[in-house]
Amino acid sequence: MADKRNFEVSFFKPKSEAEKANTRLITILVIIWAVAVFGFQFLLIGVGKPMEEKTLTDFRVLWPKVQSSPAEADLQSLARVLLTTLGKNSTIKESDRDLIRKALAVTVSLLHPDSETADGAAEKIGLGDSGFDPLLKDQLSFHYTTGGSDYSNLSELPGVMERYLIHNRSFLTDTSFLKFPFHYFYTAQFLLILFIVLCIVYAKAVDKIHTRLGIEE
Amino acid sequence: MRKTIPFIILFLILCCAPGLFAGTANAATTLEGDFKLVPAIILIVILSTFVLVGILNRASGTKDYWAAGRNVSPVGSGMAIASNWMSAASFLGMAAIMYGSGYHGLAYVVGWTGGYVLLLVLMAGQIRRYGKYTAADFIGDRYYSRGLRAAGALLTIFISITYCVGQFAGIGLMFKWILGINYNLAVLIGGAVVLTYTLISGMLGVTKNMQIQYIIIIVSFIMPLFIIAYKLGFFWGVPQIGYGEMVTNFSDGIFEVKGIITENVLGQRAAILPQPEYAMPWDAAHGTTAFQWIALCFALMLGTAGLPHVIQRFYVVPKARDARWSVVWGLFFICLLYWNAPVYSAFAKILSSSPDMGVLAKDAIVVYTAQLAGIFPLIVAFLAAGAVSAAFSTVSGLLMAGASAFSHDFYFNTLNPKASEKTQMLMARIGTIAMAIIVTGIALLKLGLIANLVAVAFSLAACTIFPLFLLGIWWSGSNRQGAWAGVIVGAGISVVAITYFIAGNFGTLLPAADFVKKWLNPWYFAWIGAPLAIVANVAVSYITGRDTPAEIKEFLATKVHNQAPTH
Repeated sequence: MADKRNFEVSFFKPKSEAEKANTRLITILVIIWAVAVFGFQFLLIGVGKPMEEKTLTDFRVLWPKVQSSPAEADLQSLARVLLTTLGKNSTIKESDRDLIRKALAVTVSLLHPDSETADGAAEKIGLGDSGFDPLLKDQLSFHYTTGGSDYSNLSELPGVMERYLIHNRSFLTDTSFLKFPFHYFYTAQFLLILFIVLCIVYAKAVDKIHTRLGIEE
Repeated sequence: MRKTIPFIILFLILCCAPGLFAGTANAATTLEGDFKLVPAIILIVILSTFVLVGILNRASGTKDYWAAGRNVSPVGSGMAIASNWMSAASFLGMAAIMYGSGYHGLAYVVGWTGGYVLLLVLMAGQIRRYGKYTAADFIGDRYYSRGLRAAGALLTIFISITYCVGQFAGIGLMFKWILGINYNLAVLIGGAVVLTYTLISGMLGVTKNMQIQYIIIIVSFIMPLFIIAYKLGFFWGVPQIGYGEMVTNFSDGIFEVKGIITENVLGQRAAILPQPEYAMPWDAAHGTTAFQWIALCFALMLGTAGLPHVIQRFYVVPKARDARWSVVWGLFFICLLYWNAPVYSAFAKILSSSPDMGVLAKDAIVVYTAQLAGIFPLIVAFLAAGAVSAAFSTVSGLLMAGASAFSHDFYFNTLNPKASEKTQMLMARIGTIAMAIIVTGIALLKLGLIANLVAVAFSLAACTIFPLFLLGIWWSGSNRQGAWAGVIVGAGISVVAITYFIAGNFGTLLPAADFVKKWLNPWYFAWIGAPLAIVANVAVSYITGRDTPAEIKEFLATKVHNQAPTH
C-alpha cells in the first residue's frame, strides 16, 4: 500500500519539480495580475482628489448673489449653469432634476416675468447660435416651466449641484494617452492586453516545463 | 465541418439577398416601431443555419451529448469558449452599464476578462487532467460524496437558471425590437425558439454552432463601429482607439462633431454638454463607490473561474495542453468584443444627448446607437441578430450544463444508477424544458439590467463552486466535511443576498436592509462570500483531520499534479 504522506498535495508545499516550477510560475503571474488590476485601482483612490467642474465654481459665486440682490447678468449666468447641469440628462435623479428645474423656472421668471415661451426666455438669457448655446437652448425648451418668484424653497440645491459637479481627478485621470484619459485607457484597453499576455506566458512556460521534465499529457 | 462551412456561408448570402433589397425600403426612422422585415429575415436565416448545423452534427449518445466526443482543437474550442461566454450581458449589457454608469461599467469588462487568468493558471489544465464530464462529477468524485455530487448538480442548475434569466431578458428585448411586439410576448416567443434549438442539437451540434456563432457575433458587433466612427469624424481605422478623443472631450463637452453627420437620425444634435462623470472613477453622480467597483470586479473574476458551463468546456478538449491553449484563444476572442463594448456606450452618449430623446432602454443601447447613427438597416439588422446569437449560444450552453447536471449527476448518479442511456437522454431533455420554463417565468418579472442579473450568477458560482474546485485541486487536505462546510457558508450567504434582493424588488423591507444592500449586494456578494467559504472549508477540514482517502490523494498527486508515483 502506498505511503499516505507521499501523496499530499498543497499549493504552498510543492513536492515534485513540476509542481515547484508550476506553483512558482502561478505565484508570479497572480501577483502581477493582482497588482495590475487592484493595485492600480487603489492607486487611483489614493491619488484622487475631489475636483469641481467650472460650472460648480460659477454656481458657488452666483448662488448667494441671486438670493440677495439678483442682477440680470448673474441670473443669465445662473440660467446657463443650471441648463448645463440639466444637460447630464438621465444621470440626474428625477427628484434632483425637479429641484434644478424649479431653480431654472425662478431664474427665468426673475429675468423675464412675462415670458411665456422658451424662445423668449432663451433670448433673455442671451443664448445664441454658436458654441454650446444651441445645446443649452434644447435643454431650455425641454425643461422650460414658469412659476416661482424666489429661491426660498431651494435650500437643497447646493448639495444637489455638488453631487453632480464634483469628480475624483488626479494626474492619472488628467494625463492623456492615445488621446484617452490615462486611467480609462489603462482599465478599458491595457488590462485586457495584459491578461492575454499573462495567459500566453503561462501556457508557453508550462509547455516548456513539461518538455524539460519529459511530462506527457 | 470545414467542408460544410462554405455551403453555410453561401446559404447565408443567398438567404440574406431578399433582406438586402427589403432593407433599402425599410429605413428606420424610429428606434422601436413595428415589425421589421429585414432583421426578421436575417434572424430566421441565422437561426435556421444554427439548427441545420445542429442537425448535421447531432449527438449520437450521452458521451457526445455531454462532451462532444473530445475532438475539438484549441482554436475551435477557444471560439466555442468565447461564443459560449459572450452572452447578451457582453453584447448588450456591458455597453448598457457603461452608458448609465461610465467608469463603473469597466468593472464588468475587467472582471469578465481577468477571471480567465485565474481560470487558466489555477484550473483549466488540472480540470482536464482530472477527466470528468461535469462540474458535479468532479465534486462528487473529489469529495467522495454522493450528497455533494447532488449538491453540485443543484448548484449547477441554480446557477444556470440565474444566468439564463439575463439572457432571456436580452432575447426578449431583441425579439421585441424585431417583431414590434410587447416585452412579455417577446420573452415567451424567444424562450420557445431557444428551447427548440437546444433540444434539436446536443453539445456536439452546440460546439460546432458556437464557432459559427462566434464569427457572427464578432463581425456584427464590430462592423457598425467603423461606420459610426467615420460618420462622427473620429479615427475610424481603429475605432477602439479613435473613441479615446471623444471620452477625453466629454469632460469639457463637444458642441460639434467633425464628421459627415452632425445630427442623429431623429434630427437631434450629435453633441454633448460637459459630462466628466462618464470617464471619472467612482463618481457620486452615478452613486457608485470605489468599494463597489473593486468588490464587483473581484466577484466577477472568481465567478468566472467557478461557472459550471465554463468549466465544462475543458472536458471537450483532448488534452490538458489543449485546455490551456483553448483558454488563451478563448480570452483573445473574448477581448476582441470587450475592447469594443465601451465604444458603443461612448457613441451612444453623444448620439442620444438631446433631452428630447427621453429615457432609452439601456439594454438595447447597442442597437439604438447603430440606428441613431443612421447606419444601413441591413447592418443594424445584422447587429440585432448578432445580439440574439450571443444570447442563444450562451443559453444553449447553460441549458446543456443544467440539463446534464439534472440527468447525469442528479438522476443517474444519485437517484437511478441503473438508468439506460435512452432514459438519461430523456431526463436531459425534460431538465432542459423545465429550466427554460422557470427562466421564462423569472425573466418576465424584469428584475434588473442584463449585466446585473448575470452578475448574481457569478457571485453564486464564486461562493459555491469556485472554492470546491480551488481547494479540491490544490489542497488534498480538503475533505468531505470541509467541502460541506464551504458549501453551506457560500450557499448561506448567497441565500441571504438573493432573498434581500427579491424582497426589495417586491417592496418588502427586511431587517438591516441597508447593511445587506451595501455589503452583500446581489451583484457582488462573493467579494466576502467566496473567501468565507474557503476559510470554512479549510477550517473544518483541519478540525476533522484532513482525512481525504489515500486513493484520491494519490490520484491528485500523480495524475493532476505530475508527482511521480511510488508504485
